Amino acid sequence: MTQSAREKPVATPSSTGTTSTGVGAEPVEEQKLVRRAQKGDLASYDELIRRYQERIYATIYHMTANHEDANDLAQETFIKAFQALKSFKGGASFYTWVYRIAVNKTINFLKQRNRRTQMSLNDVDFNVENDPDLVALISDNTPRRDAALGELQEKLNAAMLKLSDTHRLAVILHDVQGLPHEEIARIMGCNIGTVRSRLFYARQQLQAYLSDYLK
Amino acid sequence: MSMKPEQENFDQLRRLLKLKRYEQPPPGYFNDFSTQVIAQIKAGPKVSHDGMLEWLYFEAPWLQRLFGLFETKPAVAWGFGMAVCAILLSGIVYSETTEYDQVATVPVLNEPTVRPVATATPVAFGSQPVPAILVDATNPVEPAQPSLFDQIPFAPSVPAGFQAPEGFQQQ
Repeated sequence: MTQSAREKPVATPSSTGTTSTGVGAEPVEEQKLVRRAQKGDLASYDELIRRYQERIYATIYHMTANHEDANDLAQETFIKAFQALKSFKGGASFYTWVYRIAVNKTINFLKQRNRRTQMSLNDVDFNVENDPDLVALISDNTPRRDAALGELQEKLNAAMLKLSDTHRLAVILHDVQGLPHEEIARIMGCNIGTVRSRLFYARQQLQAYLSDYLK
Repeated sequence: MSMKPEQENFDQLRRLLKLKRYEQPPPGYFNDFSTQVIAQIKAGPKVSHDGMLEWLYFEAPWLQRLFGLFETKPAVAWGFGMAVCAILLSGIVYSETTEYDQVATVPVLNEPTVRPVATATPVAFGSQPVPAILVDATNPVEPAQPSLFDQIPFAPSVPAGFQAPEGFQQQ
């Protein structure tokens, strides 16, 4: 893995392994693929999809808390990106550009959709039991030591859904996806100060909602 | 110093948020994800009603911010609406004023006020009167020519008659 943090942010554990997103994402390679895709080469676009599908899906999924919605929106994002690919001038990276499409699509979708009370949560990967941070959090620091991971996951997602779309997005992009503030500012179309402010407010809110689990 | 415990709590929160990284879609989900997308691209564009709006949002982030401002601050939306109404009303009033000015300056041919001009012009070129509208036109009025019907030599009228052929007997 030779990618920089910007090219390969901390994502899901599986995406750091041998999956398709692990393919080298050097800017030159990406530019070549984008140029070929702009000329209609679907094989190159297929490669671009494979690179970013997991991160795009994960972001949308964490925003919607629903696998079916995330699936539809992720597919629509890549279709829309291909249709608009000729207008991509290369000012930002392709990754940021696709992310912007995904975020706009998701926020528009959430505005139209009523807030769900029921969540269709994806299963937690079994590797979670090996994560030292989470193990420590559950077994040592949390007063409710009998809290199962499933319950914790539900509480966490319920708290996330209480946040506004923009605040939730800031938390997801930074604390879950691991993107830097600058990248988030480009994706959300705002300045870095706004990102930091949203992040701070969102964390405060989450901390209040999850106080029982964070003592 | 007061921020330190809070920061520590944020650290705990961030550790807890790591849990979300382990949420995975069904196994094998990504195996044919790109294939499905490519198939849909090959199938052609799907018509969606909100496609235009989404595209506008994407191409013009300022529009998104403007709508966001309207949602968060209704007073801004109210003020914007009033400004648009004021512009519309002023446009209507201005256009009506301009129309009045044009009516006042440009003579209308069918108006009765034009008729004295027509009567003042010497138009009695022939025996027939020339309509006022022709007098006001830019085309010069030619003198009236004698009627072509007057030039046809009229022969004396012969009453129509019919003679039956010889040998024809009326029944």
